[in-house]
Parts: sequence; structure tokens; C-alpha cells
Amino acid sequence: MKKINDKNINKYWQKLFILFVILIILLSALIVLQIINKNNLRELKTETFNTKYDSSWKAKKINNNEVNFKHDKNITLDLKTIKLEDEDKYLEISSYITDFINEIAKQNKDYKLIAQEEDKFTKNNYDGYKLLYEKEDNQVIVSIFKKTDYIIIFTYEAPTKYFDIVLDSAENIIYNFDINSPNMELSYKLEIKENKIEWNKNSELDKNLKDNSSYKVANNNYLVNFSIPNNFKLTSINSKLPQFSYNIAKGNLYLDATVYNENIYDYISAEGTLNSNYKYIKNNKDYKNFKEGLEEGKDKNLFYIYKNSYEFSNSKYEECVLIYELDNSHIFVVKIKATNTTISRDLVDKIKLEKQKNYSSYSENKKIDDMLISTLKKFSDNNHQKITYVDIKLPTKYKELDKSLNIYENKNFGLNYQDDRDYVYEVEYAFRINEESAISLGTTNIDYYKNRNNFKGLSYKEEVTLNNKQFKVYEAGYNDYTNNLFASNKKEYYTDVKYLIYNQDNIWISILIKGKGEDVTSEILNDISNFDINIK
Amino acid sequence: MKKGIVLIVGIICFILPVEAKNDFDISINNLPFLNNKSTINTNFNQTYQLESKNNVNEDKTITELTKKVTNLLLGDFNNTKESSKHFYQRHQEYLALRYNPKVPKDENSYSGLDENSEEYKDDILSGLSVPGMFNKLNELNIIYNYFGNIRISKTDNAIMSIIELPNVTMKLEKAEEPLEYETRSTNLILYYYFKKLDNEYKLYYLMGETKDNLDDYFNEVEANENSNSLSISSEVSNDLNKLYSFDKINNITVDQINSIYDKNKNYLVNLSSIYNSENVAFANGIIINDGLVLTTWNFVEKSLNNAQQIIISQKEQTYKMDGLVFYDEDLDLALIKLKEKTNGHIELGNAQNLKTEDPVICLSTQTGVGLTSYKGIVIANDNYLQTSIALSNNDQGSPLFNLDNQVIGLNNSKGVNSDISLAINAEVLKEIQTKFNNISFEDIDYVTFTKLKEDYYYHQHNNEIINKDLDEAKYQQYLKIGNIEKNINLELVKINKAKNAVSFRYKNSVSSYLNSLDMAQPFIKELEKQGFKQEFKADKKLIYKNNSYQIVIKQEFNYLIIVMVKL
Repeated sequence: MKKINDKNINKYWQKLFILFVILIILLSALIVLQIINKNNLRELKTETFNTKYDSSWKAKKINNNEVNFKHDKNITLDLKTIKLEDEDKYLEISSYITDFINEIAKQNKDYKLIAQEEDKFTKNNYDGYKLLYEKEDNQVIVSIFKKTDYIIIFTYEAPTKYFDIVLDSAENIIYNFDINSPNMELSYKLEIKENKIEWNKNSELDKNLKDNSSYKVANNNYLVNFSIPNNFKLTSINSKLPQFSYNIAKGNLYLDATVYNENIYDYISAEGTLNSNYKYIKNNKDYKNFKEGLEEGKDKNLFYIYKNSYEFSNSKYEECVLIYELDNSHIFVVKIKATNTTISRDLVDKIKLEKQKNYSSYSENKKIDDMLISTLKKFSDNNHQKITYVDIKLPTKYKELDKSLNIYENKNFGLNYQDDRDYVYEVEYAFRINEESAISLGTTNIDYYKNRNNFKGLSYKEEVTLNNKQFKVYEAGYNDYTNNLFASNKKEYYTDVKYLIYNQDNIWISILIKGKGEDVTSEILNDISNFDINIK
Repeated sequence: MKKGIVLIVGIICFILPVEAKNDFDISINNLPFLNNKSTINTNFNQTYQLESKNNVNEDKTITELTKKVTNLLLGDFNNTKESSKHFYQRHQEYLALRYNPKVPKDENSYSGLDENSEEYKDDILSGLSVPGMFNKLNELNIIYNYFGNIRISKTDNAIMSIIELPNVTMKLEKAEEPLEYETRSTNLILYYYFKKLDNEYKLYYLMGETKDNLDDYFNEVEANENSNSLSISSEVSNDLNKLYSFDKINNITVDQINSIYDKNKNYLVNLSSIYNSENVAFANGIIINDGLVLTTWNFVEKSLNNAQQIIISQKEQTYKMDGLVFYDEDLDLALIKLKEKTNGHIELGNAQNLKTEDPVICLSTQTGVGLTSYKGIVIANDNYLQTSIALSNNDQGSPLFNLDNQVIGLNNSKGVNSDISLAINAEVLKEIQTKFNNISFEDIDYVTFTKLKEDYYYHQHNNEIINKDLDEAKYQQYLKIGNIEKNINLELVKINKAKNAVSFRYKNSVSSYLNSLDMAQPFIKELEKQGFKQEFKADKKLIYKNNSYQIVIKQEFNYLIIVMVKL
């Protein structure tokens, strides 16, 4: 009997032993995983807050408002959040920090306050206070800060030996902390009515479509590179609204492109710009057989295609609008208008948005041999066969400013930036049609300051030769003020204005230079009159 | 077998983490602001407590509407990625909040509407400002994380709500490279005006201001303050002139301002508190009764918290103080008793009849050396007297005057750093003046600054235990890294080691002049020479690394902490 019992007991212990071995293997696997995941952050989320911590900590959730993080060697990080009542939530933390510190002292009499400071907490920089306490061999940092109606208290305590060493890891938990914010609920429903577009084949167009050529448009703080079939000829070198045309068979296609500062749905909704553009046509009996459609297209950007067709005065028209989302408040829009021909799907599919960039303002900062090179461009003639290039060469101390986001038509530069008046010197280059127009536009520019002290209107001064070129020089002036000051003791200075007009083979260029608080010197006049004109 | 199992159990118990428990604890149930307790009052003569109460208008409707408008205007908290669809919906919901009253018709006018009616003007103003502000602010890509203070007051024909949004970031042109954007952090204050339409509050006007704009203005004011004459400040550029007429202040002459100054200069004081010769807090104050100075509780509390003493002075005179007579936290007022009675005190005027657009003058010192005058108008006169004078932190406690040279308000700390400041109006100040006129100076009870600090403010700057816990051999090894001993010229307070890490803690006694990370520059340069590469950089932390070590350099309090970890 005893032998049989012994045998059963041994079997029992064997099974237990196997179970323990399995447990050890699992524990070891866990330890190995921890070592592998050492650098990965773990996420902790409660109903109230969320944060991340590295694997050297173990998190224990007490409730939705309290978590205790434990490191080894008796190192802890406690997190507590308190929801404030309405009457307290708008108070600054500074208004109760003193009471708070007194209360901590009462609750923790053995701890001495070593240091305190105001600080900012978490990646969102909430204002708060940090306190350092010490008792024998332990130190404590209490971090208290506020977000709206929550007070958050982190308490990091560690033996002095490890305090500084583990501090950074503890502060990373604070850095990653945030109170869960409820998502904003919106009740307005977006309704976009899509209608299938009727595409008419245009075999003449489709079989002759060439490869694409690239162009740029710069407007509303965006620079967009796009490409269209080479069949389209540029008819206007306009950086805000380049225009193209293509004559085909008995018809004609016109295309332009621009950037709007508008949300894509604002543009295409029932009350939006797109619909209001064609409201007149839709409601006017003279326009017959009006049909329209709107579809979402396929592109890396959110993209819609609108197309309509109608007849008017014995001619057939089609208009197609391609709307690309650049961001939630900017769109790139290509408009195609067909007269007595049709816009085919193949043509639309060839049009591409290549690149987009959000600039505060656009310019080309080309530098050659320590000189800043900038080019004005325009068609030389109405046949659009040749382009006039004006290559401006300025020392690199001049900075190109693009105040009106024109790449080709105007160029603006600044010299000597100062906090109180932006650039001391500002230069503006522009094409003009003729001398009268140049003087007229210069006068309009200066007369804007008519009511200023010491105003002197634009008047002819002399002819000068600069950089082997003959310029007619006009001058003007007025008092201006340093920024942000409007009352009696604002700083006033005299703005010296010179306006240069140049003509070469009927190509008229004006250069307006302002010296804000400084005279426009001959050195500066020499700098700004260095340019070459070429026709290609 | 049994021994094997016991051994295994023992190993498991050893591996499993021991329950860590530390002694420091904060029981949140006892936190005073949760129970609305304030024990400091028990030291003061209770008969001095004011009857005037600050009846803050807690209109929850307007508060919630303010938050809603802000959410719709700027998007959700921390809104870095918003879809076009969400943007569109938000935009439409925001526009639905616009105040658009029914404008009476007038067949004879060009528009067919009565262009002289209030409704027409309001419709034009809201039609321009409400949609316009949405576009303007959204171009700035403002990211905000929480709502700050909201204060509400009734103006003559609208409800005004001011919301502060601390620590927002916005996308602006780079100052010297205007072709590129940069992200800048600032505080944003938004001002909303609501009017009722069909029993619902609608948004009729709004404007905004950033702390950067105000900082530039305050720096200019401070720079202009001089000891030889009264400086006259320029005006802040903002959009208040779209809502209010400033005509009444345009007629104020320099002689009028000088007359206010001449009559009152002996009763205006500045207060500064110091710790170890460093300035801790600054404020203005007025001599409200002979020998009694009224200033803000905010200043006094900061001083009790952090300073060793308060100095009260005028241009050519310093006063000694006995102590604090009473304070009112709600009203942000504190009354200080001087050691000696003064000759005379401020004259108070009538604030009850002040109306919107009435002119006011403020006299304040930013530097303690000179005095600046500010002109403004009354914006609201309900719980507080609110004026269009932008004031900085140092201007708290400064008086507001009417054109009869009388004080009609005292600016408190709650409205500083915004376009519209707050003042306690003269009716409250009169209660204080009357109360203490009836008590002889010698009989006025007070509590000394020292006693208050001892009883209620524990913040003694205790010294740390200096601790060097590292054997010499290891110490020498770590000293080579960055040549730390030679390159850090600060007092070494602690060295600690743990497994593969060593930490050095240095005390920076000149932290108010040079920050600790700056003091570590020679050490950092040496690290770079030794082949360490910068892995991380933030305001108060740097991390350098090579194949063998990671070096964390941190600034904590007035310490420089360097942790070297062997990889």
C-alpha cells in the first residue's frame, strides 16, 4: 500500500514540476521581450487621460484619475488628476499654489523643501510648478499643472542614489501626458450632389494630344507645378493666372489655372462659388440645353471634376472645372472652356498637378557668382512668339520679397532688415507699357502718402547713366512711422523715393526704390540698375 | 523533487518585482482649493473684512458659447490635421453664429435698407468681421491646447467675453526671411461681442491680440520711462476703435495729465520684493489712508511665497512697513501698514456714473524710477471697471483717474497683458478708506511679513545633503568624458552611480543670470571633440551619444544634472 501511495505522490510532484518549468520558460520569455521592447513606448489610457512610458516602468491603474508607475529600486511615479468645479476652473494655478504647498508640508512633515520653480509641462506646455523635496536618502519632485478644468499632480520619488539617473525617464512620462479631449461635435451635414458627367468623344483632339509641358502658378501662398498637353500655347505670362489656348478644327479650347484661398467643399457646394459662377447661365433662357455633372475624380489629392454644356447664339459650349484640394483652405483650379468643340475625358486625364508648396510668399533665389539673379518675363508681342527676359543681378545682400506673389511680372527686393521698419531699402521692378503709363503708375503709388508730413510728389529730376544705361530719374518723399505706434511720440523718419524709368527697343521698365530713414545713395542706384534684357 | 520545486518557487519570488512603496503622499481630498478654505485669514482682524463683494457674472450660457465659438473658429484642441470636410462643416456652423438682424427697409436709399439704423450698421460690421476673422485666423494655422481664463461683462448694448488661450502656436512669416514660414509660440486673447437675436446670443464682432504684440508695446513703454519727467505712452494698435469712439480722450491735453500727476505724485508708490538681492515681484500701489498702502494681493502673495522682504518706495523716498492689515483674494487687494503715518492720501472720486467711452487716465511705473501716463476709455462698468488701457504685470496696483484728478479705480492683476484691463472701482476703495479713517493709525492691527511667512509659507530654501557615492577608480573613468571636472565650473552637490550609469548634480548659484545649460557649454564642446554627436535638443535638455556612452544634460531648478550611461 505504501509503495502505491508513494508512486501516486511522485507522479503528482512530477506534474507540478513540469508546470513550474513551463512557468519559468514563460517568465523568461517575458523578460526577453521586455529587453527587446526596452526602447518602445507603451501607451496608457484611462477615461480621463493618456500617456506613454518606457518598459522600465510598470503601470498600475488605480482608477480613471490615478495611476502608479513603479520602477525597480523603490522608485515610483504617482499620477493624480482632479476635476475642478466650475467656480475653480478658471483660476490660475498661481492663485492656489501657496495653499497647495502648505498642505503638502502638513501631509509630509519629514520632507524638507529644497527648491521650487515655475515651469511648463508636457509637449503642450501647460503652466505649472515644480517642487523638490528631500528626506534622508530620498528625494521627491512634485509637478503640478493645470489643463482647463483639471489639476494634474505627478510625484516622482526615488532614493538619492538613483534619483537623477531615472529622472529623465520619469519626465518623459510627464512629457507624453495629456487629458483626453472630447472631439468637437459638428451638427452641420455636408451634402455634395454628384451627377454623372456626360463625356463626348473628340477623336480629333484625342488622336492629336501631345506630351505634357510643365508650368507654374503662384497665388494665395501656394506654388503649384502642373502640366498640360503641349497642344496648349501660353497666351499670358501671368504667375497668378496663366492662360492657354488651343485651336482645333473649327473650334477652340481655352485653359487657365489658379489657386484659390477657399475650402474645396465651400467651392463646390450648392451655395458655393462654382455654382454661383453658372447660376446666370442656368437661369437665362437664352442659354439652351444646359447640362452639368459633378464627380469625384482619382488623384493623390482630393479631386473633383465639374463639366457642363450649353448652347448660346448658335454656338456650342462646354466648360470643365478641375478642382484639386491643396489643403483644407486652398484649392488648385483648372478651367477649360471649349467653343464649338468638346472636352474629352482623355484631355482631362492628361492634366496633372505635379507639385505643391505652401510658401509665405514665393520667389526664386538663384545665385550665380555671388549675385542674386531674378528674371522678369513677358511676351514681346501679341502673337506670343517671343518672350522678353529681364535678368536682374543684385548683390546677395538684397533679399527677394514677393509681396504680391508674382513670379514673372514684378520683382521686389529688400535691403537691411530692421525690427522697427522691416527693410530700410525696398526696390520694386516692373514692366510698363510706355513712359506715360510708367509716370502715371508711379504717381499713383506716391500719392497714396499725400497726407503725410513732408510730402513731396513725384517730379522729374535728371537723366543719369548707370551700368551703361540711360535712366530718367524722378524723385519723391514723405514722412513715415516706425511700426506699431500711432500716438504722439511715435518715431518718424523721412522716406526718400527715387523712380527710375528705362527704355530699350520699346521695352519699358520702371524701378521704384524707397529709403526708409536713409537716402538712396548712388551706390544703391548702381546696384539696382544692373540688368540685361534679352528676347528669345 | 521537493527541493527542486521549493528552489523554483524561491527563484520566481525573487524575479517578481517587490512591491515598491514610498512615503511621500498627497491626499487629494485635503487640498484646500477643493474645500474653498483659506486659513491665512485667521490671523487678521476680522472686522477689517470688506462687505463689497465681487459679484462675478457667472453666465454659463455665455461661457459655453465663448468656448463653442473658439472651437468653431480655431478647430479642435491640438488640431494639426483637419480634413477639408470637417473644415467646411466647422466653417458653416461658425457662420451660422453671426448676428444678422432684420434691417428696416427704406425705398429711398441706394440699398433699399435704412442705412441710418443700428441694425444696418450692426449687419455691416458683423458681415465683415465675423467671416473675415475666420479666414484670417485659419491662415495662421493656430494650434491651441486648452482654454485659459474667460471673463464676461456687460457693455452698454452687448455682452463681451474675453478668452485667453495660453501657449498657442501659429504660422507666421520669418522675420528676416519673409518668404518662409516659421512657427511661433505666443498667448492669444480673443474678444467676442454678443447680441441677442430671437432669444439667442449671436456673434456680432470679434478681434484678437497676441502677447508678442503687447510685449513690444510694453518694452517700448519701459524704455521711455525716465526719472526726469512724466512719460506719456503711445496707444496700442488694436481694433477697439471699430466699436468705440475715442474722441473724448483725443481732447485730453498734456497739461491735464500733468495736473493729475502733480496733485497725486506723493501718494503713488511702487513695491518690489527681493530674495538675495534678486527682484521677485513688482507692483504699484496707492496711499489710500495716511500710512496705509493699497496694492494687489497677487503681488503680496508672490512676495510671501518667494521673497525675504518687501520694499515700498517713491522716487526719492523709501517707506518701512509694519505688515499686512488685511487682504481680499476675490478682489485681489491687500492693505499694508507703514511704520509711520504719511502726510496725506489719495482722493477718491465717483465711479458709479462712469459710462462706456468716458475717458480715464492711468499713472503707473514699470521701472520704479519714472512714471508713465496712459489714456483710455471705459469699456464696461459692472463687476469691474474695464478700460481700454493695456497694462503689463508690473502695472498691477496702479490707479485710474478721472479728469477731476480723483482716483476712480485700482488696476488689479487679473486683466494684465490684454487690450482691456480690469480695475476695482472706487466704491470698493471708498469702503476701505472710510473704514480706516475711523480707526487711529496706532490702533490698526496688522500681521508682520515675517510671521506670515513663518506660519503659512514654508518655503525655506533648505540645503541639500552633499553626497559623493562613487569609488575613486570609477570616478576617474567618468571624469575623462567631456573632461567634466575641468569644464563645469559649478559647485558639485551629488554624484551617484547605478549599474552602468553615473549622475553628477551641480548647483548653479547664478541661475538668474546664466542658465545651467549655458554653463555647460565648455563641457559640451569637449564632448563634441571627443566624437559625441547631439541626438536631442530642447530648452532644458540635451542628449549626446557615441558608441559607448549616452550623456543626458539637463537643467532642473537651479541645478545642472549630467547623467552618463554606458551603453
